[in-house]
Amino acid sequence: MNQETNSEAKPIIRIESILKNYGAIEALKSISFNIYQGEFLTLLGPSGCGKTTLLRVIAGFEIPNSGLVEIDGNNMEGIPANQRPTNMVFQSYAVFPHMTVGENVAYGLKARKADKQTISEEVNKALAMVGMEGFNDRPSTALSGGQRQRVALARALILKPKVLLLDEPLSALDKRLREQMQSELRQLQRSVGITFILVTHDQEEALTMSDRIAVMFDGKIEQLASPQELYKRPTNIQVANFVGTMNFLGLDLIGQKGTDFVVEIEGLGKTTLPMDQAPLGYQSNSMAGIRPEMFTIITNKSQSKTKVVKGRIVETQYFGDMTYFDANLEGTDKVVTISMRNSDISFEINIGNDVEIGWNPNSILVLS
Amino acid sequence: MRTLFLVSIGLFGGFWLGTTATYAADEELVIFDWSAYNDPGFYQGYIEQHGDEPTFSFFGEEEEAFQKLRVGFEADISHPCSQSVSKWHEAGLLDPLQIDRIERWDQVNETMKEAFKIDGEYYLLPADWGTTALAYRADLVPEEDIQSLQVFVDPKYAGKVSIADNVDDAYALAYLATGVSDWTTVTESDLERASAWLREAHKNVRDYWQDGAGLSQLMASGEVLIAWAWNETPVVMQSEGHDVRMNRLTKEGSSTWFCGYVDLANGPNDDSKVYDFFNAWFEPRSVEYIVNEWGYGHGNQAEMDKLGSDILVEMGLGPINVPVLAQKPMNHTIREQMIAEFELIKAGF
Amino acid sequence: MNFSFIQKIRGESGLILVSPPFFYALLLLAFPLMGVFALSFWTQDYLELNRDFTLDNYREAWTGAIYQALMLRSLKISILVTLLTVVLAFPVAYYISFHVSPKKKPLWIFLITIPFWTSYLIRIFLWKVILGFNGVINGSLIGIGLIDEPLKFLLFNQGAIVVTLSHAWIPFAILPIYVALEKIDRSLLEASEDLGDGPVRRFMRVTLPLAMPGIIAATLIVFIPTIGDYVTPKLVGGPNGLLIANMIEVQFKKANNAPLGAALALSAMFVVSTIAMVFLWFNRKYLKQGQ
Repeated sequence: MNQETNSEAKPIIRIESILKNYGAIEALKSISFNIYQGEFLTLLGPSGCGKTTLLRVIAGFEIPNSGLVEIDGNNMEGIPANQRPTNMVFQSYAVFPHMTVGENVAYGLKARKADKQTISEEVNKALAMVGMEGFNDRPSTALSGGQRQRVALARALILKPKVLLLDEPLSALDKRLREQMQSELRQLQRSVGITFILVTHDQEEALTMSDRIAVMFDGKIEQLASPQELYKRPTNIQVANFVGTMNFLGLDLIGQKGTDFVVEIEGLGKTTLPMDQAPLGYQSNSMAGIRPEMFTIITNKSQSKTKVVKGRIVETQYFGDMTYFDANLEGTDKVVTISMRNSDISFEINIGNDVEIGWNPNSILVLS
Repeated sequence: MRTLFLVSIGLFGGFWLGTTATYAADEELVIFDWSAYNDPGFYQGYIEQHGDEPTFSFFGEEEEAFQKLRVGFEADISHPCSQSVSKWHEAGLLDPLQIDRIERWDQVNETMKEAFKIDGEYYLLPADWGTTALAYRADLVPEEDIQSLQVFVDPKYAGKVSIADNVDDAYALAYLATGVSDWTTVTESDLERASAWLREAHKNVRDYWQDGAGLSQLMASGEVLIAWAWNETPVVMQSEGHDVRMNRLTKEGSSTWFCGYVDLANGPNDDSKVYDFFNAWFEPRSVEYIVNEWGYGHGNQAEMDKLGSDILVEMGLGPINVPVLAQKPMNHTIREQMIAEFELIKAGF
Repeated sequence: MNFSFIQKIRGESGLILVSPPFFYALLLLAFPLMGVFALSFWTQDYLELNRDFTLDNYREAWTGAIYQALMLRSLKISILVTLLTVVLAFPVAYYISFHVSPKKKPLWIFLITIPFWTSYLIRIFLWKVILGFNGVINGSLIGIGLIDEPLKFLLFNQGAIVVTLSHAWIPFAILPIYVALEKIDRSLLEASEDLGDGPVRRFMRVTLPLAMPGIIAATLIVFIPTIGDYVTPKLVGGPNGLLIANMIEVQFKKANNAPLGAALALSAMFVVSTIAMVFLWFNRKYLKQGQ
C-alpha cells in the first residue's frame, strides 16, 4: 500500500492530542496521527515507550486523560472496549483455556447472539483462513504456541473488525515460526483488507511487515514513515539507531558552498554534502551517520568509490550471506561497522589486516 | 476387649496422653477428675500434710474418662458417678477400698456406700452428691404451675423448658413423673411409660442443657422458665441476683445423684497417698466448704447432719417428704435401653 | 552417560523422600481406619467384643429409621452449609483478588485467618451471644422497635447450626477460590470484553468457569468435614439438631456399641465420598483445564 495515495483518503482512525498519565508518569505525551483504511501500521519502540498503552487506548482498555480517538468517524469517548469496532490479538494470546478451539473462535459471535448455523459456518471459515480447519473440537490447552496464535487471530477476525490490534503477537514464538507468521500475517492482512495496528519492539519485524511505521520513544512518536523512508532517511539519531545499524562519526561544519555543507568527518576527512542529506539542518550536536553496507572494503581495484580511507580489521562476524567487519579507521580510535556480501569478497579478510575502505558522500546523513 | 481399634488408639493416643497429661505438682498422687475439682478447699489437709498439691488430670464426662482409662491412661484415683461405677468395676479398672485406712468410714453415708458393696468389698467412697429437681423463674412462673412435674408436658410452656442432656437425670424425671421412685426395680413397661412421657416433654424442650453455665444463661434471659436442674443452678443464679428457685417438693418428687472416689487398679504409684487424699476430703472443713461454696452435698453424713437443716434446706439438700429417686446403680440392660431411647427421643422419634 | 542409572538414583531418592510422610500417613490414617473397619463387622455386648463376622451393624445403620433420618438431616445441613459458605466466600475472594492492590493482598489474607486465633468453642459461644434470646440480634431488633418479643427461631435449631458452621468454615472456602481467581490471566478478561461481552456476561463466560476449580475445592473442603461435626449441633442445635456424628459418639460411648458406631461412621464416610465423587464427575470438565 502506498502512503501517498492514502494521505488523501479518509482516515479510519484519527488520534488527536492523546495524553495519558499514570500518576506522575507521562505514558503518552500528546500524540496525534491518522491511520488509513487497509493500512498495516506498526508502533515500534523500546519497552516503556508507550506503544502498548497507545494500542490499549485505541482498544478502549485505557482511558486517556485527554485527547480524541475517532474510529471510522465516531468519537470513542465513553465507549467501552466491548462496543468498539476493534479486536485485539493479545501478547499472551488470551485463548480461553476452558474452551475448545471452536468455542474460542465462536466466542464473539455468541456474544453477538448470532444463530448457530451462522456461527458454525463462520467458525469454519475463520479456522480455514488461519490454516486450522478441523481443529474445532481440540481443547485449547492442547495447542502449540503458533496454533494458539492462529486461534487468537481467527477469534478476532471472525468479527470482521474495522481495525485489528496486535500486541506483540509474535514475541513468544521461536525465530523460525516467527518469520513464518510474519509473512502469513502480512498475506492475511492483504487478503482480508482490514486495517492492522501492530505493536512490536522488533525493528526487523516492523520493517518486513508494515506499510508505515511509527517509531515511539518516551511517549512520543519520533517518526512516522514507510519502512524504506525510515531506513534511508531517519530523522534523528534515536530513530536511526533503533532502526537498522548505523555508524555515527563526529562532524564539524567548516563552511557552506551554495546549498552544500563543507564538513570534516571524523576518520573520513573533509567532504561536501548536499543539503538534503541534512534534513534537519546542521546543529552543534550533529553527527555523520552511515549505514554499514555503504562502506566497502576494496578487494578489487576496479571497484571504485569516490573516497577511500585506510583501516585495520579488529573484529569479524560471519553470517553466511554476509560478513560484518569492525574496522579501526586510520589516525583515529574510531571503529566502524562494515557489512559486505560474501559474494563480493574476493580474498580472505582477517583480524589485523590493513584494508582500504571505500565510501560515498551521498550515503552520509547529518543527524542530531 | 483387646481390639485392633483400641490397641491403635492405645499406641498413639497413649503416647499423646502420656506427653500432655496433667498439671505438674506432686507426681506421687495422680488424680483423674472432673475439671474444676482441683479446688484446694476440698483437700486442704492433704496440702498441709505433704506441702504440695497432688497432680490432676481432667475429663469432661465419664465416658471419655472410661475410654481413656481403658486404653492405658494411668492415674491413682478417679471420680465416677453412681451410674458408671459398675461399668468401671466390670471392666476391671477398680481396686477395692481398704476401708480400715479411711479414718471416717463410719461417718460415710450408709445408703451410698452400701450401693457399691460387691462380693463383700467396697469400691466407691461417696464424696459429693446433689439433687436434681424442678428449677423455675419465680418471677415469671406462678406457684400453682410448679406443684407437679407435669408442667414439663404442659403446652403452655412449649419452647420454655430445658432438661439435662444426660440420660440419668432425664429418665429420673420421666420415672418420677410416671410414678416410679425407685429405678433399681423398673420393668420394661415402666420404661415404656417413662419414654412416652419424655417424648411428650421433648415437644416443649427449648434445649437440652449440657452444663450448669449454659442452663444459667438460658434461664437468666428468660428464654427457659422451667428446667430439670441440679441444685447448684438456683444457688449460683440467686447469688447473681436472678429469682430462680427450686421446688423439690412437687407431688411426684425429685431425684438425687452421687459421685465418689475410686482407687484405680492401674495407678502409677502405691496407695500410700491415696488414703491421705481420701481422709483430707472427709475432714469436717471440707464438708463445710463443699456445701457452702459449691452447693453440693458431701458423703460424710455425720458432718452433714452437724451443719444443721437450715443451711441444707437453703442449698436444696435438706430432707424432704415426697418421693426421692436416688440415682443408684441399675440393671445395665434396662439402662442401655434407656440410653438408646433417649437418643431416639432427642432425634425426634 | 547412562541415563537409566541416573533415573534409578532419582527414583530411589524420590522413594526415600516420600517414605517418611507416606508411613506417617499410613500410621495415622490407614491403620486407625482399618481398626474402625474391622470393628464394624463385630458385635459388642456391654463390655465384651464378639469378633464373629457379621453385617448386622450395617443392616441396622442402613435400615434403622433414626439412622436414616439423622444421616439425611446431616446431609441436608452439610449441603446448606456448603452452599451458604461458598456463596458468601466467593464475593470476598473476588474482592481480594480483583480489587485489593497487590501489596495489600497478604494483609487481607492474613485478616481472613484471624477467626482461627480463637478456639472454635469460643466462636460457637459468640454465635450463641449473637443469636440468643437476649442476644445482639434480638436486642437490636427490640431496641429499634421492630419486634416486641425476642425471636426464638434464631437459636437452637438447624438454622443456627448452618450459620455457625458456615462462619467457621468460610476462610477454608475463601482461600481456594481466591487462589483460583488469582490464577486467571487478566488478559482473558480483556479478551472477553474485547470480543463483545459486558461485565456480567464476561463473569459468567470466563471468570466463573475459570474459578470453578477453586469453587469445587471449596465445596469439598467444607462439605466433607461438616458432616462429621458434632460439637456445633450439641451447642446450638437445640432439641431437633442432633446429627449423625452425635449418634456415632453415643454408640462409642454411652451405648456401649462401638461396632455400630464404627458401621455408622463408615457408612457416613461412604455416603459423603459417593456424593463427592458424583459432584466431581459432574464438574469434570472444569478440572481438566488446569493441565
